[in-house]
Amino acid sequence: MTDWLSPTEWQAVALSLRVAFWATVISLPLGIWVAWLLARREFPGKQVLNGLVHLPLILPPVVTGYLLLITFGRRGYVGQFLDQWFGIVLAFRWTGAVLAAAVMAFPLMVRAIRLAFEAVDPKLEQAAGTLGASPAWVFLTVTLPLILPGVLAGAVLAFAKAMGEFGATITFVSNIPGETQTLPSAIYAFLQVPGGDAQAFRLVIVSIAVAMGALIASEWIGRRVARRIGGLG
Amino acid sequence: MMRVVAWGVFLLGCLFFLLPLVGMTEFSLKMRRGVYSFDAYAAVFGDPAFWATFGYSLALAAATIVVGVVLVVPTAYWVRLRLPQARPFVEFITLLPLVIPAIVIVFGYIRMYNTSSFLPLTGSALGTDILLTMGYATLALPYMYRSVDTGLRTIDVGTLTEAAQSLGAGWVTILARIILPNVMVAVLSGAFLTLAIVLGEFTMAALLNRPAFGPYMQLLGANRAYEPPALAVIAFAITWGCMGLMQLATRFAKHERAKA
Amino acid sequence: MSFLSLSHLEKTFGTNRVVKDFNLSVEKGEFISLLGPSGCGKTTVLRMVAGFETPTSGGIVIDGQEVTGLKPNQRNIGMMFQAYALFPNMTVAENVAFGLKVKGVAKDKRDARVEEMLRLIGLPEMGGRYPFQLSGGQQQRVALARALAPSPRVLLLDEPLSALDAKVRVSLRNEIREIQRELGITTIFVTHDQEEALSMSDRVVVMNGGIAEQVGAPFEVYNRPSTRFVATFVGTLNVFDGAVTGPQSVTLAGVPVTLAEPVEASKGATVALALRPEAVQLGRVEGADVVLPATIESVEFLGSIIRVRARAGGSVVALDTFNRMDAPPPAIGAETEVSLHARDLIVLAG
Repeated sequence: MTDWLSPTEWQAVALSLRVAFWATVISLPLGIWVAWLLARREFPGKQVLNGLVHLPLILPPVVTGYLLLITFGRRGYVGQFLDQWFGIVLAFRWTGAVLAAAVMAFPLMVRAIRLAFEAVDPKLEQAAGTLGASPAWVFLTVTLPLILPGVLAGAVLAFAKAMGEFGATITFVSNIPGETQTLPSAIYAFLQVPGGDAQAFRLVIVSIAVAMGALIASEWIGRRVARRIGGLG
Repeated sequence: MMRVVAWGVFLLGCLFFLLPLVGMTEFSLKMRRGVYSFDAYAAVFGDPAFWATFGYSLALAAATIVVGVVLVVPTAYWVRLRLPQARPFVEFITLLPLVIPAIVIVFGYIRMYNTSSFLPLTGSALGTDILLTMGYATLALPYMYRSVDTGLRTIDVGTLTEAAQSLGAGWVTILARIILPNVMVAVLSGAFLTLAIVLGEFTMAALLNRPAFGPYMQLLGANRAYEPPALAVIAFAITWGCMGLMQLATRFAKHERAKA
Repeated sequence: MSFLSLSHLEKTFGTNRVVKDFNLSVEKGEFISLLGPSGCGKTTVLRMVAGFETPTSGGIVIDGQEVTGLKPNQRNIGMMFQAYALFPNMTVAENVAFGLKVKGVAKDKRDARVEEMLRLIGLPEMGGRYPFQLSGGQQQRVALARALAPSPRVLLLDEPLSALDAKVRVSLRNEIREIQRELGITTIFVTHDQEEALSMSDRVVVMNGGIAEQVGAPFEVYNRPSTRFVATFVGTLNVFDGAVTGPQSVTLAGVPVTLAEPVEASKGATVALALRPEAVQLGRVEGADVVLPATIESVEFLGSIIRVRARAGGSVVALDTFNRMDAPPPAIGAETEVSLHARDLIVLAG
């Protein structure tokens, strides 16, 4: 495997995996919470929240990246704050790529988890509540196990999307080999130089394999959740 | 207590989203020293390249929508009518563009249709435009398919088809006069989404070297100071506009029904 | 030569034979019902005539034209569906005009025909409405107008009344029959409701398990059912066991009876004797062939008819009497007698 890819290519693959992993992990709790809000609660501004969540899906990725840059960049107000107080710098670092990937993958994750929430009969939760369980306890012991497959499916989908994110990443953190050059950025870079086709091709294969694998896993998990919930009803 | 915390987090989230927008908008108004002005916007709208690329992307979006509708409506209809067992497979296919990076797709295009291939589409501007349209249609496929499929769910496809057949209608008539009008709202909502995606798409247009709006935004963003935020605000407005139009399309349909 | 003929129709789905050697000749202008429980193949037969299913074997001829291999849109038939199936995006007038438009009928002729059809179904003012603005009964009448507008050779009705509520169902069935008579259009009507089949049809085809058990006029099917299935599916029935004592005689609950027709069973065998509730009378009736002591078990007051169940001759007998203001229904548990006539007994085969 290591022979098959050159060190530069291998670096890009490893970086992408790391970025996608952290992007998925950090956005998961927020994703579950937002999905729950959208599936279960009625509140003013729900449509706005729904729109905001889906925004990265349709907003030009370049604009999303630009927004991230002016917010989290060295001169952005959040970026400055993080730098001064915590010494965290996001722009042009792999951590910034994590943020960009997380934002771009967020809509897909929320969508999958929201569907899982909507498939759970609220009566089950109410029943647990009448048995004296606190809301948090109900969530942990009743709801979460039921939506777990949906959560996994959403996480896998988000992971795949994060692996392939390009437009926002390159705008926010640029294309620095070893630091921010993820798989798609590397493919892009190889395509810019003459004779880079063969290298790009190998990375494309890796990219497709990851995407297909993730999607198949997600569909498989999703199918299982449907069966399980169906069996309960 | 929980409620207060939840609202606090919610407000914080809103600020998180809104502050950059406000900051960006404010910045875009500061081109003239000391006072707020629309100079940056004037500069953007005054740039012929803006109109050229915007017009080009708009035209391609229209072509993409047509291709998408022609491809998706009959397919979704046929799967519902005759191949329900193929549904999981088709849904899987339509999800692929969500996770396969656009750069991978365009890489495939460049290799398949380069000037030395059997179909040298990249050799001419028109050929490349066709290729780009196909690429955009692929990107928009998940949204268009989901939307149309949901639309089809609201009508009894099988019985309406049989009713039309018994009245002498063939497939073209059924699709054009019965199926399409009944999923028009779904098609429109998918079309606005497609429009938003195509207008902002960068990767494909850049790699195929076409003068589209996405690469223009990128170029401007890299070379200017005040115009990019103005352009971002414009792009944002267009996107929200598309979403609003989608909402409006759904509203309008509900209104039609509610008259009963 | 009949107008519509179905010969040796067979339909197999996988290994499941849903229609078996189905034969039927329909005269021009006739109203035929296919009656049977769900899954008996009646809808499949209708769908084969419409062209939505291709017969596994056998042929369909309409007006001298072999249509077995034709597509549905080439057959010139009209069809009504259970779920109305009006095109939701079109007005009532556009729905009715659809078939004519497809045929390429000129606009002025089309408009005239639409108007004529809307008047026929009694909704002349509704042309501009959309289907969702109409009641179920109105929608189904529009569906009828739409099916009839292109002047089809055959009208096919697939349980068109099932989705409607009881009152509308009765009025609409009369209306459909009236319009059918007026136009003289050959019609096949599929239903699982025996009352609909008996009240509307010239002839009824009773189907079970993919075969036609009996074809005949309603009067005939009801009074002379040819099989046990037909007898029990169409209407309510009392069934007694009779012991055969001679070529035309049996004993029923110990009472010797001479039947109207010869029995096709050897002496000593047991045959099933059926009797409609309206043929059993309460009390001792002058000239009755059999009178049995009975205990009243239940009384159902249905309005014009009172249905009584009484235990007699070792089984429960249902009997119908007309309501009379001067004779209140019997009390439950009352001891009485029931009378019946040998001529009303039906010997059931199979």
